Amino acid sequence: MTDTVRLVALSAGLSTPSSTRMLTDQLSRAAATAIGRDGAEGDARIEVDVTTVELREYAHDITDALLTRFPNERLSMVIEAVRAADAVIAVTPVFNVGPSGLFKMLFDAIDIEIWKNKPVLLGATAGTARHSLAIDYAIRPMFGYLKAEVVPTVVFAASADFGADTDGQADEQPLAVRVRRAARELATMLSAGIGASAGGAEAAAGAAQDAAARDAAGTAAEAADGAPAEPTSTLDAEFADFVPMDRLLGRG
Amino acid sequence: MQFGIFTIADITPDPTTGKVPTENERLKGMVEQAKLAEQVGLDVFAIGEHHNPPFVTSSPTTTLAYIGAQTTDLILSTATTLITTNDPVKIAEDYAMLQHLTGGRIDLVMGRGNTGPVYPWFGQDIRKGVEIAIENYDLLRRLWTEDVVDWEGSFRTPLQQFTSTPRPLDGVAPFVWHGSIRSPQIAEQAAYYGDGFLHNNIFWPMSHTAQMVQLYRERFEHYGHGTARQAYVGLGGQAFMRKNSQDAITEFRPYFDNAPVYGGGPSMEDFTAQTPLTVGSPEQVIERYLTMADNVGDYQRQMFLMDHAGLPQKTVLEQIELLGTEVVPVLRRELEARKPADVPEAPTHAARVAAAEAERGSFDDAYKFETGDNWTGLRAEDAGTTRR
Repeated sequence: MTDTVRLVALSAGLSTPSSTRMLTDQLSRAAATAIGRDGAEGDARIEVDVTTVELREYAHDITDALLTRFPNERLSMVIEAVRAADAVIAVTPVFNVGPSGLFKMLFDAIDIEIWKNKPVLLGATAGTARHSLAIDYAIRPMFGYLKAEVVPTVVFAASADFGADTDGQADEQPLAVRVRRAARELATMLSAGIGASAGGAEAAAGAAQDAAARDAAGTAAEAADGAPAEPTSTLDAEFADFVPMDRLLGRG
Repeated sequence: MQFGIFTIADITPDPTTGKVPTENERLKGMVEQAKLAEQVGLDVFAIGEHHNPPFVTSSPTTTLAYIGAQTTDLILSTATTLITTNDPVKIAEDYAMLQHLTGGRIDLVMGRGNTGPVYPWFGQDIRKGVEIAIENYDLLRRLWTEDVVDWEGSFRTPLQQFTSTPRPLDGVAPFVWHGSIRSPQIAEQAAYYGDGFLHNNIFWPMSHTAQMVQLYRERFEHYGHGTARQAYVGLGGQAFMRKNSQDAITEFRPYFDNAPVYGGGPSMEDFTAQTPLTVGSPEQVIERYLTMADNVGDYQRQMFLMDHAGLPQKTVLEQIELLGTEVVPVLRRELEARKPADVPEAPTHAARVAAAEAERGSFDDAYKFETGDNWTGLRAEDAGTTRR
C-alpha cells in the first residue's frame, strides 16, 4: 500500500445540510481511521487524503456532459480525482426505489472504464428503513456492470438511524457499527491490494502496453526493411483502441 | 491552405420565428450558398449525406454536379460520404464522373455516419460498421487505381474483370479524407493509405481533437508517407459574426439555445470556451482560428458550418460573405506565413497530377478498352504492362 491513500467521497444529496452528506462524512472518517490503523499495524505510516464532492455543485456540469458528450473542465477535475483515487465512497439518497437521478447521471455522463476494479464503498439514505433494500437491488447492480470492487457491506441509513444512540437503542445493528464494519472491510481490501490495478492510471498503462506490443510486432516486421521504430506515443489510452491496418487487411 | 463551408442540410425551425424551410427552399438555398462561397473567395463547399428527416441531402453527387456546373473554381467535397452503405463500385463511378465533368474539382470525406438505422435501409449490418468501412474503402481505391479488378470480399458480390468507368481524370483518383470524431481506427485507416484526416471538431474540446490528430500524424509517419507534420489534416469550425461582437451574441443566442446537439445544455459562453464555436466580431473569429494550428500542427483545410440551427438563408449568406471577405483573407495570409516549407499544400487535382506525372511520366488518356477481349479488352494479367 502506498504511503498516502486517496479517497474520493461522492455525495448525491440535494439539500444542505443533507443526511446523505452526514452519512458520507461518517463513512469517510471511519474509512480513514480503519485504513490508518492498518498502517499502524504494519510499519508504514499511512496518510489518508479524503476529497469530498457534493454532486449538487456539479449538477449543471453533469447535465452538460450528458448533452455534449464531453466533460467540461470543472467536471474533468472530479473525474481525474476519481481516476486517481485508491477507493471511492459513493452515497446517494433513495428516490423511488433507486438512486437519485443526479447520482445516476454522473455515471451515465463519464467514461465507465474509470470504475473498473475500483474499490467502492456504497451508502444510501432514506426517510424510513422500509427503503433499505433499494441499495442492494437498485444501486449495487450498476457497480457490478461497471466492474467496480464493491465493499461487501453497504450502509443504509434511515432518518431514525441518526437519532439512535450507538448502543443500538433503535436497532440491533446501529448505524455506527455498520459504518465501522464497512470501513474495516474497505481497509482490508486496500491492504490486500484490491484496486491497485484500478481503472485510470493502470488501465492507461495497460493500453500503452498493448500499443507497445503492437509496435514490437510492427517493428519486427519492419526490421527486415530497415525502417526505424516509431517513437513512444504520449496519447491517452482511448486513442490506442485500434487494430493496425496492415494487420486488418492481412498485409502485415 | 483551403477554407470552405460545409452543410449537413438539416431542416430546423427558426427558433425566433417558428418558420420551417421547405425541402425545396433548403436545397435551392444550399446551391445559392455554394455559389456565394466561390464569389467571396472560399475554396471548398462540402455537403453531408443523410437518408432520413430532418435532412435533405440523400444524393450528394446530384447536388455537387449541379453546383459544379454553376461554378468554376470551387472544390466540391462531402461531409461525409457513407463508405459503409454506399456500394464502393457506385462511389468509384460517381466521383470519377464528377471529376471529369468539373475538371477535377472534387474530393471526398469518407465517414460512417451517425445514424444507425441507415445500415439496414441499404442492406448492410450495423454491427459490422467498421469492417464494412475498411473493406469498402480498400476496394474503392483499387477501382480507381487499377483498370481491371478481380476482387472478393465479405460485404458485396465478387468482381471479375471489372473496370469502373470512367477512369479517373488524368489517371489520378480523387483525393480522399477520412472523417472521424471518436474512432482511432479511422485515423489509423487514413494514415495507412496516406490519405487526409478531417476531424470535424465543432462539438469537441481541443484536448480531444489534438490527440486524434496526433494519432493520425504518428501513424502517417509510421507507414512511411512522410513525417508526422507532412500529413494532411482538416478541421471543422463554427462561427457567428457581426461587426459588433455584442450584436452577434444577442442575435445568435436563441439559435444556440435551441440548436440540435447542444441546445438545452451548456450556456453559449461555456460552449464557446470549450469548442471551436466562436460568436463575436470577425476579428474575434480570426483570433480564435489562428490558434488552431498551435494545437494540431500546420494543417491544410479549415471548414466552417454556417447554415445550421434554423438560421434564415439571408443571415447565412451574410455570414458566408463575412467569412470570405473579412476572416479568411487574414487567416490565409497568417497561416500560410507560419507554415514550414516541408508541410504540403492542401491537395488539389492539378498538384496531384503534377506529382503523379513526376513519378510515372505524362498520362496518356487515349481510350484503351476496345480490344474485344472480354467486356473491357484489358485482362488482369495484362494490367501490369499497361500504362495507367
